[in-house]
Amino acid sequence: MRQTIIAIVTFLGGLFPFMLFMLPEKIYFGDTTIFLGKYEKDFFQVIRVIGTAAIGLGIINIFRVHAPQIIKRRPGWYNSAALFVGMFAMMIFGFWEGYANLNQWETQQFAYNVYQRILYQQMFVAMSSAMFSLLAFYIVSAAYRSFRIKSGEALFMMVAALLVMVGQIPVGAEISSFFPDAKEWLMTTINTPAYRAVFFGSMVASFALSMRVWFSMERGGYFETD
Amino acid sequence: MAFQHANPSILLMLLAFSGLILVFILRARSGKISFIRKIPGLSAIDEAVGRATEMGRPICFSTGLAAIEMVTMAALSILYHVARLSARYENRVFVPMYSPEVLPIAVEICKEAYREEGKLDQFNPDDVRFFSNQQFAYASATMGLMHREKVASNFMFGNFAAESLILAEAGQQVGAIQVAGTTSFHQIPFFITTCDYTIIGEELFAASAYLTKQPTALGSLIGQDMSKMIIFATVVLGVVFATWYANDSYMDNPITKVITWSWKW
Repeated sequence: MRQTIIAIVTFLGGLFPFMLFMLPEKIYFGDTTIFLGKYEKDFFQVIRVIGTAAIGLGIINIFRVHAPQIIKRRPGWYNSAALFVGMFAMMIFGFWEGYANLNQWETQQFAYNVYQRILYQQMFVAMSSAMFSLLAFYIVSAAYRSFRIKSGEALFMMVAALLVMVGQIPVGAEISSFFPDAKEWLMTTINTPAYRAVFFGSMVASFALSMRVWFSMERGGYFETD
Repeated sequence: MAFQHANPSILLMLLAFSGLILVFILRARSGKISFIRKIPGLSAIDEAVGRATEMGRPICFSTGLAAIEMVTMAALSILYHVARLSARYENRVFVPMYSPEVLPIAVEICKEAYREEGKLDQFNPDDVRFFSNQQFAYASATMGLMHREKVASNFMFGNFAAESLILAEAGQQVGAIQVAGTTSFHQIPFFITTCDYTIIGEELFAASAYLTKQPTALGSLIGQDMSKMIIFATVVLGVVFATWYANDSYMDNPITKVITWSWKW
């Protein structure tokens, strides 16, 4: 009985977006007009609200994992303490900035300065940029480790990579117009079809899986085992 | 939110795909199971879990950046398999989460896996941890987890962006065997250069069928391949017609008429 109810609810939940996609926005039957698009905004608003509420689950999980670390003074407990300090600082100043009394301009400006300028721009964005910059070094490290010309295919790939890299930088165009043209040809004629082939395969597979989930035909990890 | 609408051509194509997939699912359920080629990356999963157990070090399984999407569902089906093996071998599997919506699903999947192996008492729900829904905060937290716990096997399945190389390099630094699978085309080269095995695109979706050998999943996989044959035939037809009507108006091409066929109500 429980499985049947789950299957029915799953089917009905997926039916509206499917109909919204498949059918025109307005359907005319003589004097009657069915306007499916009227319910679109509310339907997706509900989904967004549920997704946003899930943030609470994440915060509860953070407390479950890190609070015992601090309470029991396990090794590295100060990292968990730093996490809570950062989290509460963002929450407090974020809510303050959002809900400050608009008549008290100085208070709101203070909250804005702390939240947007110090915590977000100067700390969070700066640290994210630092993490992103690691990629430059990791690309070099990974390429040095793995790019070895051990076969004809590897040589072919290296030549193509060299042409694309030289064609991408302004110096390549200065050396010869061949490099940008070769890069453009490789990226549009060779690379794009490969990308589209992978994309087609992924989309068909994604469609098949979504159909199995919609009709509750998926078994194993999500429902009972066969 | 502007919602795109299909036209009758799309509906017909989807009906054709759905019909094929359903037909092959029914065939598979009646016992007619076709051959599936070996996918080295998926075969290596068992080896990687065994290696981690022999070394006495845990496993890290990352599901990427996506929320509840089909890519994540496919990754979670692999997580179930990995969690079952880990439970069987009495090893730990850490699951760093990016999306809070997926967190309870992952917890339930791991708990179910441990229950199936009769090792529910060994399951620690705190091994499935929400880190952050910010890309680089998640990446740095997962890096820290891999370094602290000295993971021996690192699985990365799902949707990844720039943090893919950061996670893969962190796994390299701790000497983990790495298996990655993604549909994010731009991240595939990074995984290929840093991981021991890489699963590209649709092979990720084939994982459920490959690992569990369930008739429904196997039949669906064959149906997908037949659907791709339809796409291939459509591409060939498109090339032929575009060449034939190259000197004529765009709208004279029958393929154009099919693509622009719209609902008339």
